[in-house]
Amino acid sequence: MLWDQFILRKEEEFQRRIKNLGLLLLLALSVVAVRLAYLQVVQGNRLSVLSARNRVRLVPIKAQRGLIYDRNGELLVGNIPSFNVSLVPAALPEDPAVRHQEFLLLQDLLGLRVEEIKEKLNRRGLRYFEPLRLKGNLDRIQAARIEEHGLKLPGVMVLTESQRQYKFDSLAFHVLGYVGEISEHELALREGYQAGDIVGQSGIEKVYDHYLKGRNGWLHIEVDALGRQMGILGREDPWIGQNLVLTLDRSLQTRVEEILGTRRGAVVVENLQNGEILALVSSPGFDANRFARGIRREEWEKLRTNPHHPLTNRATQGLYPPGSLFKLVTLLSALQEDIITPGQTFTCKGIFWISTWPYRCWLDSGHGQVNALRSIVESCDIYYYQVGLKIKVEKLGRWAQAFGFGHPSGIDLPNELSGLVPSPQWKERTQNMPWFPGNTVMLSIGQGYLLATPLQMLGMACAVANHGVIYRPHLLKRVVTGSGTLIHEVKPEVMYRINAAPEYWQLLQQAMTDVVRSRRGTGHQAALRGIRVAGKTATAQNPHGEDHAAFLAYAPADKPEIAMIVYLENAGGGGREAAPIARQVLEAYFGVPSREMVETK
Amino acid sequence: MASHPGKWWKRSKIHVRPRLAQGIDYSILLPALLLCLVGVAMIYSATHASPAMSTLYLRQLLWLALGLVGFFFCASINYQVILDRYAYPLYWLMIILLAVLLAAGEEIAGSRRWLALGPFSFQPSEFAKITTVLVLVKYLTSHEEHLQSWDVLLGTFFLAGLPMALILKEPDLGTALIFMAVLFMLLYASGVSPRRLAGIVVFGLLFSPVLWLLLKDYQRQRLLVFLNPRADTLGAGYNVIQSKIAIGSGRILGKGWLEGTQGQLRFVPEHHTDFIFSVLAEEWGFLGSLALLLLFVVLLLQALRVARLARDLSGSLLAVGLTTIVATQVVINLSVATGILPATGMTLPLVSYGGSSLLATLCILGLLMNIWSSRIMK
Repeated sequence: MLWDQFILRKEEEFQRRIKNLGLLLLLALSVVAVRLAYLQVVQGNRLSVLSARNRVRLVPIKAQRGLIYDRNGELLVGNIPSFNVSLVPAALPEDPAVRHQEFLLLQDLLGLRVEEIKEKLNRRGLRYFEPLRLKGNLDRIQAARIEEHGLKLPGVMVLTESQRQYKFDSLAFHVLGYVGEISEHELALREGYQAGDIVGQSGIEKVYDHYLKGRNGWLHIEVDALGRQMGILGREDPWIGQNLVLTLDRSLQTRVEEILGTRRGAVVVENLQNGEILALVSSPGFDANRFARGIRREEWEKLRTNPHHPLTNRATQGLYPPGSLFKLVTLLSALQEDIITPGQTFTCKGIFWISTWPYRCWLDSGHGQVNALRSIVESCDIYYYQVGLKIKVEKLGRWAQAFGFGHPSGIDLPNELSGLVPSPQWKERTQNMPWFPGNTVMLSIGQGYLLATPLQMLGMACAVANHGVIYRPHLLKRVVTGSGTLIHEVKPEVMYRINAAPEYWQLLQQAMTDVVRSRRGTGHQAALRGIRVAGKTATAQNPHGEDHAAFLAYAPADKPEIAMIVYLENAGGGGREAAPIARQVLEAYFGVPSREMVETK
Repeated sequence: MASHPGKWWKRSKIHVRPRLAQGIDYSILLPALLLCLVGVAMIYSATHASPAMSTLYLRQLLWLALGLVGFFFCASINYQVILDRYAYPLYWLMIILLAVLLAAGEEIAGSRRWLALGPFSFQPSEFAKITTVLVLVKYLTSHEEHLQSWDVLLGTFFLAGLPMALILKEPDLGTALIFMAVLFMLLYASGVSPRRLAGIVVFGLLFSPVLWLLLKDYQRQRLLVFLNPRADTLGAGYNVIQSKIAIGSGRILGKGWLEGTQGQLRFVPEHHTDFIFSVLAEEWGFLGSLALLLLFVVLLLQALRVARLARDLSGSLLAVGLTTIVATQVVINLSVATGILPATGMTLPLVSYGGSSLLATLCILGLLMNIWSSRIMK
């Protein structure tokens, strides 16, 4: 009886426990069911999108970049095929140790550090199934060695790509610019670009990237999980980039670079009738092909920290005092504002006192009685000190701005600087000091706080030659498609129109002509056989050592075609150093025999 | 014994009895068969696009035929005799097999689970589960009166721990876990107090840091990836993410049979074995998935009913153990596929591709039906 009850209790307990097991099972499967409802009903749409994306892979067909020609149709920038080594991350071995072995082998074969490879693989936005470009510009031997070790390098492949080629190496480096792979940062900012795209990083390549880049095509590929191609679902052909014709004259550009040699500075030659830039040189330069091949980090660091700043375009980004070139502006403003008359003279004794401060002329012996014409021809400083004291600084500032100082010239190059036209308010604000008469005196001869780019200074020559009209300087002439259809043509555009009486313009023209023609003119070294040149020298003092030498010119003086500026850093006297350079450039442009050669005959 | 010279089974010690007609339990056989056919359909869908694998479904059908033979064989024998006379020999035989496997087995994907047997390779661990249940039931029923003693408990841990350790060494973490589940369910069903079982679990957890050290690198990685699948989209986390995408993209009605892209294009790895469920969920949607769950619920609840109504304690415990084997696999496999649990590499019983698994599961179901039909003979 007792035993039976014990058995019965045990039996009941057993039944209860089996029921519990059943409940446990139902609970576990309910969790699964709820999870399924979440994935398939709640998250269904989102995961469906992911699923579709999983299946179709868009593989870009890179568009070939547009070509760049000079004004005469000479090819400046083209493309050549090159090999690169790429890696499909999805095909890498799963085992980290094996993966590391593969990286080590790549390091041996390519000279690419393991950390560099890992860094590339860790970038955000990496597509696991698309080839990631590891290194470009492989030579044939490297490419062959990669292929040879193919079995030990799963996921690694050698691909051909189009590489930018600068036909004349470092020629016009600052105009053409260079290209490089788009950075993560740019990718986030700009629309219509994909990772791995080659984009312009500076110069024309950057400004007109939208013309040059074309549009990538796409292959719609159906793939499996390992990225293996299962079939092609569709294809959108790429549009090759459009070609650019520049205003640059390749042979003149080459000649100017030869003439400039290793000097530091900038030379710009412009058609003053329409603003077309014929030559634009900033020295030192750099070979853009080294960027196209993929520049090494050490090389890039060296370039960036180079004390001579080869990456800076001195013509548009170098800020210098215009020095005596600015006397043209001071004189015109004083005449037009009726502060002086052309015949009015000022006395130069070589030194001029403002209360107890001595201000010297560059000619210690003094120029004696100086009128407007002589003040330019012989570049008398003391004439301008006295004119400067009569003129109001605000007025002079407005005239400077009317010539384009303090504003970008509007040239089609990136990151142009505006320079600085100082004013009393500006000085108060930034230096917390009042404007002194001495400041106006310095401003009137283009020294002191006034800073401008050589391209802005060039505007003065254009204005004088054109009776006040300055065209927007530009490098692009037209855009054409590969088949030659014209897309866009750049029209001359008046940037500034300076109002002054014609006789004053004529006075300035006369003065600039005499600077070169007259025996006493500071710029007579720029004189050319057969063609009359108008010019102005400057020897600009600066806090960074030796004076800058500058020469501003237009020619022919009687029928102006071109304007030019030569600005040499720390070279010394403008008449002695810059004027001969200008002469050589003008000789090259007009095709007249060199004066040196003639004289030796 | 020689009284029925014409009937060979009457003479054999196993006592094969032709009593199927009276005792076929359709609530086990029908869901099981349906699940097998669903499995074949899914395997076909998952592999038909790949030339190398497109005939796997035929092999599965062959294994199904073999499995049905195993099913009816196991349904016909006298399980009591098996328990009494063969539990220990079968158990030790399996231990030896597992040891041999570790020493000489064929290595597939970094683990030794397979034993080549002529044209077929088979997985001893699938059958080790059954023999371990047999030996545990035998042990528990023979120590029925002393279940509360620590000696007896230690004995069961030894019996379950030995094959478990060998399988863990293969390494096959998932299958090893099943041994633990089976042991605990059997102890619970046979009346060990839940408090004591909970104490053992707590004790085990205290030692889990030691276990962590014993885990292989890839096993640790799987656990870590489970906690944060996005950390390694191509490695271990990849399976789970792709499986979830496949399941979710099926939505309510599914993409239709053979229309799934995730499974067929192999975004889901091991899509015909461990992740077969994601192929089904993608193609047949939420409704299809629920139907599959329902089939398993019917099957497993019926199996537990067998345990409740068995003729004797050994039959009951046997049913509990065998049910636990199947139920644990179902729950773990589905949880892994839906991202509830970390990836362990476990097949979905009856549905996944795999001969050993199918054969073993059908044998288990055969034994369950055996116990069911024997209840009448009380």
